[in-house]
Amino acid sequence: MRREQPLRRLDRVLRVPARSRLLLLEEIGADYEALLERLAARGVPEARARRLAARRLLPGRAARADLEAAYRTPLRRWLGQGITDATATALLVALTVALGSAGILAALWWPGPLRDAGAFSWLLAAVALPALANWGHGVARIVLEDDLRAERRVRLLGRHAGFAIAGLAVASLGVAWEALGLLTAFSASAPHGEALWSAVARVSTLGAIGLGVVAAGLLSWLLLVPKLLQYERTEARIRRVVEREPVTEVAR
Amino acid sequence: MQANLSKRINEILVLAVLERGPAHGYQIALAVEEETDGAFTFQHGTLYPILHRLEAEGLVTGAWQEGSRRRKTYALAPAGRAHLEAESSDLRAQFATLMGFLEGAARAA
Amino acid sequence: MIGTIWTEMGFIRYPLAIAAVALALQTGLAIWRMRGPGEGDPAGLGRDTILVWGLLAATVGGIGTLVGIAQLSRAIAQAGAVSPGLVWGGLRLTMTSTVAGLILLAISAMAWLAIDYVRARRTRTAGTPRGPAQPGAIGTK
Repeated sequence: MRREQPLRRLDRVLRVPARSRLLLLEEIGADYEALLERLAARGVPEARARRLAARRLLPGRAARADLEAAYRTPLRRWLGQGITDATATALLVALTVALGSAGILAALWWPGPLRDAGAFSWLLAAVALPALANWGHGVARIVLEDDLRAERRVRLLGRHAGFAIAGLAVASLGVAWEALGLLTAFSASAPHGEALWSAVARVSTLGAIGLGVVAAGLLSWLLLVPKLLQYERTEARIRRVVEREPVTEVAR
Repeated sequence: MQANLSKRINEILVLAVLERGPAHGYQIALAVEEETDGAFTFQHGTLYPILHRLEAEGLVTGAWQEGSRRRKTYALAPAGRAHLEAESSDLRAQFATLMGFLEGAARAA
Repeated sequence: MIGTIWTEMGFIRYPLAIAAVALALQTGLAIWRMRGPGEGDPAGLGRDTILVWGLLAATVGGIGTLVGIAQLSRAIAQAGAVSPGLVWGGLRLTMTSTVAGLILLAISAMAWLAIDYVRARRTRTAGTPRGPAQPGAIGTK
């Protein structure tokens, strides 16, 4: 089994913003390499030199905690030490969902096509709220940690796409269901004039609202992209820094 | 008190090395270990939080050198020089008081 | 003709215009990242954003059409008797925004495919997403 390279392990466990993590890994990686060369020049065997250099330079738990404290984001610092990262994230997500719920409930309560749509509106809300929670979770991590690792990014965007498709499906279903109901009623007694056009107006409005929710989902995705792209590019640079380091040893 | 003293000593060791000239992180760690005969060592990467804190406080300056691999060099800032002088004399006075107290205690015993 | 289409689209023309401009900028940015210095677009997120702008344009176009139909229907319901020509003419107007949105979606899909093809070719010829590793330092920022 191959042991994990020290810098790669450090990248994995160090919880500082992506940009700061890149700079730390560059600095520590360069010092580690230089110290190895110095020890090799003194005739220290390679394996021992790696152990000595790693013990001196690679941050242990206490040093990592100090670095993480030093590189906290302003919001995280403001929230204070007494609150864990998980709690802070949960609070921000809860706040996002609460605000979203308030908006959705207000829209459902306000007299109009959304209130008249009944079950369709609640179904749309049932898709919108978890989508909001998912998006809020990503935003919370970005705001609190200024970092979102690859696996979390993939999960966030994947779920977001799923919710957008679900929203589109619910919107289409709502429109089709309304249209079906109206056509069934109309097939019994053919509508004309005001009844017909009012029905068309109602179905169209529902469709527009459904597409509006989908558009909001797409816009919220676009809002995240600049930051996510920055993290991807930083991680690509980190990979280049880490890949310069040869494997320390192979335990057979 | 103990944590504070340890922190002050670590800082003053780093600043004292940089007083001689700019250095990379690993050079600071090696200089401290070799010149104190191992009495003071920076293990498990404890040097880096110290360096970064000193840089944030403006006591040292960090600069990147481009090359086959980017390396960071630290140098003593004017504020760091003043801080080093103040801390050195303060710690000297404190240790002198401590030694005086211990000698008095030994004589009394 | 473009001026006529612009006027016919109603209020939805502004979000569509923003989407069109953003699509053009995003495509330019994706091309620049592919060819320029720096880390480029490692996982293709910038390229995928082109498609999302296209989807947004199509969605907005659909919203414009549905809102137009709703407004037209309410107006006809209030007016009572309306000539068929006026009804079909009104419906035709509402379709303009959907057509515009779908055109932008098609453009975005073609841009995505073109950039993806070029990226894949570069990866095959150079072995890395952006070509051979640059000698010297990792960027300057």
